[in-house]
This record gives sequence, structure tokens and C-alpha cells, in this order.
Amino acid sequence: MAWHAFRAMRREEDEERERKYSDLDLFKLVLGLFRYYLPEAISLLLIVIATSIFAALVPMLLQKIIDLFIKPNNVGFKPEIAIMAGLFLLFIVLNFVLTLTRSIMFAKLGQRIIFRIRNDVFSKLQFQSQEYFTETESGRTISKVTNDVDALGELLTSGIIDIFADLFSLGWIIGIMFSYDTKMTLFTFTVIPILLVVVIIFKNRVRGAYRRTRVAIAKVTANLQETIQSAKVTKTLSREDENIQKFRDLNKETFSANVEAAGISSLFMPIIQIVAAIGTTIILIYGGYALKFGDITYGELFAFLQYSSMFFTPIMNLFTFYTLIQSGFAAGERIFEILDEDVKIKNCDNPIILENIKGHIEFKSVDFSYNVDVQVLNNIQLDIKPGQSIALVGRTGAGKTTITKLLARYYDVTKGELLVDGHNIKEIELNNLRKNIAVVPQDVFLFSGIIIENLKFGNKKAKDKEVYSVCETLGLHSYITKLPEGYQTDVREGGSRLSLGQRQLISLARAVIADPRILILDECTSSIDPITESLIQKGIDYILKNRTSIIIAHRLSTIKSASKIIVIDEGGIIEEGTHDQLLRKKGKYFNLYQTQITSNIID
Amino acid sequence: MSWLDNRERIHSAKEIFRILKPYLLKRPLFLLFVSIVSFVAALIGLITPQLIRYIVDDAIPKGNLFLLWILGLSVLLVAIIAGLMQFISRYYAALLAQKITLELRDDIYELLQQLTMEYYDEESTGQIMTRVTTDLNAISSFISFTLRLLLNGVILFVGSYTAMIVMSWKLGLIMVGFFPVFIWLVFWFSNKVRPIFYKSRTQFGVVTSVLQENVTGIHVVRGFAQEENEIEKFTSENAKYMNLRIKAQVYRSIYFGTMTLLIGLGTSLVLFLGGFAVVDNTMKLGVFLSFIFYLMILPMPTRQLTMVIGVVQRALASGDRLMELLSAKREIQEDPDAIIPPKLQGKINYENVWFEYEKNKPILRNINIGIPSGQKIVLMGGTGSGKSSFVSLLQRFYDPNQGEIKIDGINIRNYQLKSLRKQIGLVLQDTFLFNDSMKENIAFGKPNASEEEIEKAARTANIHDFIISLPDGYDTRVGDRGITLSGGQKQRISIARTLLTDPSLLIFDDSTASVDAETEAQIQESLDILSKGRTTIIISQRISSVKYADRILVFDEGEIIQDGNHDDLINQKGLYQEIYTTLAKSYDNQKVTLIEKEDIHKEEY
Repeated sequence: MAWHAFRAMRREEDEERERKYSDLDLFKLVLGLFRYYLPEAISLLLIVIATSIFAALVPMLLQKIIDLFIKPNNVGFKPEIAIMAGLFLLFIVLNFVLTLTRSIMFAKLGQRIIFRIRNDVFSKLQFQSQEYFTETESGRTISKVTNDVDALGELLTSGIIDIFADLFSLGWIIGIMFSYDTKMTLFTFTVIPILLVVVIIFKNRVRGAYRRTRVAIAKVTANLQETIQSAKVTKTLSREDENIQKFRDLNKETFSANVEAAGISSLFMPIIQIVAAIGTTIILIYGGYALKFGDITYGELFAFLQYSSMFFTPIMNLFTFYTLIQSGFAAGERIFEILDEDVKIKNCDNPIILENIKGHIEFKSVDFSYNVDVQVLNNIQLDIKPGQSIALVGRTGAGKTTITKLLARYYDVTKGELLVDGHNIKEIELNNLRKNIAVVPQDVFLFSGIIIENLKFGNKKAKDKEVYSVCETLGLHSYITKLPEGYQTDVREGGSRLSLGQRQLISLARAVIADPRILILDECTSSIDPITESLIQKGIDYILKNRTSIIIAHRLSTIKSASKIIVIDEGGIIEEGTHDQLLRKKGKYFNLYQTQITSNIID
Repeated sequence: MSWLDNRERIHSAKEIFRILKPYLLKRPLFLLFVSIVSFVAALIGLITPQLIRYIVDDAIPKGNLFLLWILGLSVLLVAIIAGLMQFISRYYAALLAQKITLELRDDIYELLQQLTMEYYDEESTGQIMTRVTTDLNAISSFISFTLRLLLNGVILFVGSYTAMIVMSWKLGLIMVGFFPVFIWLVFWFSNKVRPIFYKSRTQFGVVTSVLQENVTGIHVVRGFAQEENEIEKFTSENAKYMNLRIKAQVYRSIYFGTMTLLIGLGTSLVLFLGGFAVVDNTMKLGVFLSFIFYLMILPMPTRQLTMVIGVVQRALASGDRLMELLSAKREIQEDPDAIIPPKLQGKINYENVWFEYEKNKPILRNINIGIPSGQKIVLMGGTGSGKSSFVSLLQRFYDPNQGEIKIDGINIRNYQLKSLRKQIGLVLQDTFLFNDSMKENIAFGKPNASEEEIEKAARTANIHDFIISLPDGYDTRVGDRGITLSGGQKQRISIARTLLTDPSLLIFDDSTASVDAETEAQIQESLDILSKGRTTIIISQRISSVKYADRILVFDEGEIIQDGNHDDLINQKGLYQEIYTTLAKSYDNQKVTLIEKEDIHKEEY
């Protein structure tokens, strides 16, 4: 019990939110998870029912033994006692086998379902719209797949099965009790209204109290995250004391909320126990009278006592699992939210698979906006011939990166058409398209693991030789071989072992090794120092040969050799032409170029 | 105890409990009170079967209705007292746990403020967060459950046994025979489950990191169309995790099942032997019945004791991680008689400074340099040449391994750390904005700044106009991690933040790498304002910065290889000349440049 409550406490990132699903919806969704394992689920249900019958029969068997055979003053029957005790033993062993089968089956089924949900969510994430990732912090997403799936799993695998079994037994128990003695049963059930009142009063209070604890701890967590991420800022500005004060207040809030919740939940269990004791008292006193008048037997009295305690058990368990159920449902809600979301970018019916993409790219009157209010791209007209190298130039936020994202189909255009080799990219099979386009993004991401694996990420079949030759072209090979473990060096999470410049080079090499027909370089050498950059420029030129390429760069020196330079401002193309043409034109490009020269060269 | 040991932990259980000791011992009476109440609550629970026994054996056969009522109502009374005690014990145990958690969390937070930069460099945010939230909660439930459950479990267990032996020592002794089996079962279970538990924890870590990398690198995964491979990778790790979990649960099922079986076995023995005894009149029916009631109590304490094992093991695993945090190196401590510097002039001296992060890999080698106050210095050099370490030492994020750094002629170790840092403004490469209003972000280093001061800083940093164009002006909240602002805007807010603290020394860690030329020019302008009258150190890759510099230091492999102004260095053979010519070449040759420059001037007139 304790550790369910403890697990429940881990669900701290539950925040206040509008609920999309009602409890009933969620219950249906959770139940729906069993549909993939229908035969197992049905046999499990049968075993649950069987064990519940068994559980309900045990006191009855004891009653029979007591009443039939165990009577004081030598009226009992010894051999029969032995037989009945043996029968009871058999009963116990059977029950053991059934219960064991039940819990093992349930463990397997539950874990399989969790496994499946986790996989489903992960797979769904692979195809989730790009907006989702820009709008949702990665931590939150990760927590959905780990903590939330765990919380839901907890609900599925721990104890809840016992509650089901108990609830089933409840039916049998009530029936058996009535069959024994209607009056006594009715007397015993007078506690039910008290029970209902207690449950109703507590239900809402507990819910409110736990919600407050979650809100409070969410604030603490958020504060903590900022603190850790801003450690350096805090240190430079010596903000420690204020931070501590702020945190103390939040922490104190959590404390008060938790103490309040503890007060309410500590009260519930004892109260239910007292209500149960009222039942016992009624049975004992009424039973005493009834015994006196011979209305019932000792065995029946005993059985009644047993049944009434069995009657209260599921209610207490339900409460113990209350927080678990709550957090399981909250978690379920967040999981179903992901699973139910539409995949915006997907293959059309009968997508085209292009065997040999030539790399002819056309933008036809393309408009694009991430959300309705802000138009990011405005009537983009572009025709990039196979093998051409195009440079996009413009200030930060002009829309350059967006153009590349549309091409790789991270987003779909709002208006107009985008064609590759004459086919609208919406009609090309997504994997086929992306395998032929490699984007080397501004913010480099390397996977933990060895360098060579990172390099082969886009082309698992690449030979080591090919990898080395690409690295040599980019001047990376000699650097890597200098590392103690060479290509086998583990770059660690996020590539933190390497400098930013080195990471950029690896990211570039990785794209080249994937051997795409279309290569997009988005500021991919910004962190490489000028000397190295000029050294690798030849390598880059070599790599771009025979490929259609789009290059984005702020350092205009790197793009002079492009076959065409496109100047973008506020989402539209304002100038295009070769370096010389544009310089002669003395427009925006000319100005940009001048600014850079004056800032980089002093006379 | 054997279940307290495990190989995966670094710290012993003793060490871990030592963290809690001061917090627990702070309130000995509280602790005693909770123990006594839990003790009494458990003990009272054992009375009920006895009352039933007397009802059956005395009240009913003798037809004593008065006794029946008395005993019947006593059942209720006992339940009420037990309930009250239970409530008190639960509530106060939770209160104790919450109080300790509150204090521990506060203390850990304070510690976080004092940890070295190295710690933050090496640990991921998630790891630290888990320690302060999840791990601390594990400790908290340890406090609130262990004591109470342990007392309750032991008393119910021992109490039921005692009652059984007292009522019928023969039958009682038979049940005692089961005792070693119970104990053995508990140990068997915890020994079986412990390694699986740890393995599954580790495996879960693997699942999480695959996931984390996938989510943070989703654009790469997509870019290379590697979704299927990623799913495959995840599925295989996820399946491993599932199998471990199933295994643990199977053991758990066997354990609880066998426990119930044993008790059932006991019950059949009691039925058999006790039944004979009742028939022979050597045992009363009531005794027989209450015997069965005691037997039925037994599953509860065994469950509770098993739970204690779980809670303790979790607490130990968590405690271990907390220990790592608590024993992490705290920041360079200051001299007890450290001085609070007056307004610094900004004269800096590095004398024979050596510094290394890892042994035998010096990042700075024998740096000797003097910077007069008010000078503007630009640091140049490739990645890893030691520029950033050079300035980190000045702020005392780290201390040098050898040599001394002096500001205004006094070793910086002799200054009070916070006062020193307050006088050094650092504009970071990676701008961090808080999920707070613009106002609060700018005033971060000076929370009591007036609105005029904030506005003035914002104006100087060239960001005021932008801020007032926002819907709520200075009260506009910055989206989480500054997502809604451009790099240049974030940078300028960060400059305003530094400006507001009016530092005597200024360090500008170049972040203009991926900013366009215009934004860069704007930042340059702000920087110019910011550096007026202050000793300023600028780390930069760009030649543009040197225009504003009095002096340039060129770093290579931890040494300053060139020192001088632009005119000196451009005529010296060396790295500077090389960088300069490379850049110049990349922008055509200077002739073209000069001609076009004249054109600009013509346009202006």
C-alpha cells in the first residue's frame, strides 16, 4: 500500500489543466487497451471470477466444519473433522494455484500492454508533426513516455486486479449473507449509508488536496529546472540569496499542501475501520441474541464476521489505490492525447517512389505560415536545376530555414506547390523523399555512442572506407584519428566531448555519407573558425559537385561560388543572381556584403 | 541485514542513514511520540479476537445479555480507540516526513547554489532534478512508512503469536514451526527480487536515454528517414525492460501466493487439531474461533514487512544518489577573513597561472599578463585554445592549479566571492532567459532596481523600443527558455541585465557566431556603450571586434602567443596575420573592397 502511495507521489508533474476526457472516457480507453490481447484477457477474467468464488466460499466451508462437526461435549465427529480439514487444505491449495496463475497472467498481460503503449507512443512520436516538437519541451514529451506510461502501468499491474476480484466477490458475499439470515444481513447493512456518506465526503476532499500537492510540487520542479539551467547566470550575478528565498516559499507551499493531504488521508482509513467495527458490533450483539434463540449457529456467526470484513476490504483498497487511480488516469489522459493527435504530414494514398532523384526543385507561388496570424513565406518562386548550388541570404528570421524545412517536408506549404523532379512532394513517399534530401542543420545534434556510428546514422550500410574518405575530404579524418580511440571514441550525450566546430563537421560528414541527391547546408560552419573553414571550403565544393544544394550562410564569403544567390527579406525573395550580378546591382546584397567587409577588415 | 547490501550502491546503508540522522534527532520527542502511538495502535488491534472469544464462550452459553452488550460495544470502543491511534500515528508520521523533506529540500537547494560549475557542466539537468524531487520523495516515504509499518508489522506478528501460544501452547507451538519458513520466504523473495529490481532500473535508464536522444534529435532522425530503425532500437530495449518487470512480478506473485498458502496450511492444521480438542472438550469453541481470527491477521503484517523492504530499498537507492549530490564538491570557499572589495578599478594581473580540468591536460600554461584598468581586450584563438578558461578563472568559477590572479593588486582569493562576482559583468555565449516578465529578467541581478533604472538599461542595450512594442511592455513574459525572441533580442536583454548591475569589469563571451551582420552590428554598438570606462574582455572569432580593442591577446594551446594592438599584430608573422589574411582573402581582395567603400561614401553624401 505504502509504495503505491509513494509511486503516486512521483506523479509530480501533474499540473492543473482542462480535462479533455471524462473519467468514463478514460476508463473505456484503458479497458480498450486489452483488446489486443483478447484471449488472454478473457481467460484472465474467468480466473478472476473463479478466484472470487473461491474467496467467498472459504468462510462458508469453515462454517460448515464448525457447525457440523466441531461441537463440544463429544457430539462431534473426529473422522469427519479430519476429512473436512483435508478438504479445506485441498481448497487452500487449489486457491493457491488459481491465485498464482491469476497474478502471473496478469503480470504478463499488464506488462505487455505497457510495452505496447510505450512502443505506440514512441512510434507515434516519430511521425508526430514538427509543430508538436517546437511547442512541447522535450522534457515533457520524455516524461509522457516514461513517467506517464509507468503510472498507467502501475494502475494496470499493481493491486487493481485484487480490487476487481474483491468487487466480484462482493456479489457472492451479499448473496451468501442473505441466504444465511435476511434480518441479520439487513441489520449489518445499516452501516452502508454511513459508509456512503464517508466516502462521498472524502472523495472530493482527497481529490482537492492531492491536486493542491501536485500544483505545489509542479511549481517547485519548474523553479528547480530554471535554477539548474541558469546556474551560471546566478553565479555571475550573485543571485543566490534571492533564489533561496524564492525557493523556500515554494517549498513551504508544498509542505502545507502535503500536510493537509496527509491529514485527510490519515483520517479516512481509521474511519472506515470504525464503520466496519460498527458492523462487527451489530453482528456480535444481534448474533448473540439469535444464537440464544437458536436462529443461527456458531458457524454462521463466524461466517458473518468473516463476510462483513470481506465486505469492507475492497472499499479500503479502493481508497488506498485512489491516488494511484487518479495519477493513472491523469497519465492516461496525457498518453491518449498524443496517440489521438492527427499526423499532419503523412503519405498520400499510393505515394510515388522515385528511383533516381535528379534533384530538380521548384517552388511555385509558395506561401507558408506556422500559425494563421504570421505569414512566414510569401509567394516564393524558385527553380533549382539538378546539380545547381543555390545560396539563401538574408537576416535572421527572414524565412531561409523555413524554406529548407518545407523541402524536407517537416511542414506542408500553406499555399502553392513544391515540386521535386516535377512531382508535388506531397505525392512522393515520405521516406523516399527524405532519404534523398539531407539537411545539415544549424544546431548540431549528435547521438551518444561512437563517432563512426554517428557518421553512419543516415546510411547504416556505408563502408568504413567510404566514411574515411568523406572525412578526409572534409579535413576531419586526421582530427578523428588523433583521438585516443579514433573513430571508436564515444562522443557522449549530445556530443559533449567534442567542440562545437568539431560537432558541426561531423554533422556535415554524416549528411554526406548518407549520399543524398539534395543537400541543404544551414549555417553549418558557423562555429568553425575562419582558418579551418577556408581549409574545408575546397572539400565542401567537392562534395557539392553533382548534387543539388541549398546553402544558408551569414558569412557571405562562403557562398560566393554559388550558381545563384537568393536574397530573402520578410518571407519574400527580393533579389536573385550571381555574386557579381548582385554586387553590381548595389541592392540589399551589396549592402549586406559591405557591412560584413567593413566589420571584418580594417585598413 | 543482507537485503540492505547491494553491489550497485556506492555508499553503505550506514552512510545513507547518516544523512537523515541530524534531521531525525532534531526532534527526539516527536520520534518517540510517533513510535509509542504506532505501538499502541497495533497492540489494541489484537484485542478484538479476545472479545469475540468471551462472547462465544461466556456471554452466549450463559445467556448473559448484559455481558453480550458490554463485550459487543467493547469491540466498537476498541475500534474507535485503535482508529484514533492509527490516525495520530499516520498523521504524525507523515508530518515528520514532510518536515524533514522540507528541510532537506531547502538545504539541498542551498547546496545547489554553492556547487561548482564543473558539477553543472557534467550533470544533466534531468539528473539533478530527479535527485531533488523523486529521490527525495523516496526518502520521505521511507520516513513516513518504515517506522510505522515496521512497528505495526512486528507487533501484529509477535502479538498474534503470543496470543495463540497463551491460549493453547500446543497449537501455538505448531504455528511457531511455520515461523522460520515465513522468515526464509521473506529473505528468499528480497534476494531474488533485488538484482532484478536494480537491473530493471538500469534498463529503464537505457530506455529513457534512447527516448531522450530520439526526441531531442528528432529533426535528425527525420532528416535521414531513420524512423523505422529508431523504432526497432526502442522496441528491443523496451522489450528487455518488459521482461525484467515480468520476472520481478512473477517472483512477487509466488511470494505472496506461498505466504497465503502457508497461512492456509496453518489454518487447516488448527481446524484438524483444534477441532479434535473442541470435541474432546480440552478447548473451548471461543478459543478455537479466536485462534482462527489470529491466523487471519497474519497476512497483514507479512505484507507490511515486505512493503518495508521495498520502501527501504528504494530509499537506499535514492539515498545513494542524494549522497552523490551532497558529497559533490562545493564551490571554492572564500577565506574566513575575505575582504569586500570597494568599487574595483579593474587592474588585472595573471601571474604564472596554470590550469587544468583533467590531470596532465593543462588548458592554460603559465599565463603572465597584466591588464591596466579601463583597457579593452579582445581574446582570439581557435576552439579549445584556452580563452574561455582564461575568463572563467577571473570570475572564480574555477581556481587555478598554480599561480595567482590579482585584481587591483590583491589576489582574488582574498575577496569575498559574491562581492567579487557582483563587480564582474559576464555576458554569456548561451543567453538564459527566465520564464518571467521582461522587467524581472532585466532586474535579475538587481531585484530591487527601480523601473527607471530598468528602462535606462534597456534603452542603452537598444532593446527598449522592442519591449514597449510588445503587448504588455515590460510585463510581457518571456516564453519558456526565451523561445519567442530572436537571438539578437535575447542577447540584448542579457546585455541590459548586465548593464543594470553596473559592473566594474566586463566580460563578453562571443555569441554573435550565428547572428546576421546587421544584428551583429547592433550588438557591437551596445557593447561599445557597455564597455565605456570599464576594463573589458571580449572573446571573439571576428576581426570586427578588434576595431574597438586597445589590445589583442591571441591564444594557442593554452598560451598567449601574441599580444598587441591590430597595427602591431598585422605586421607580425603569426596566427593573427594568418587569420586576418584568410578572412580578407575570403572577401575578395582589399582593392575591390576599397573601391566599393568609396562608393558607399558617395551614396551617403
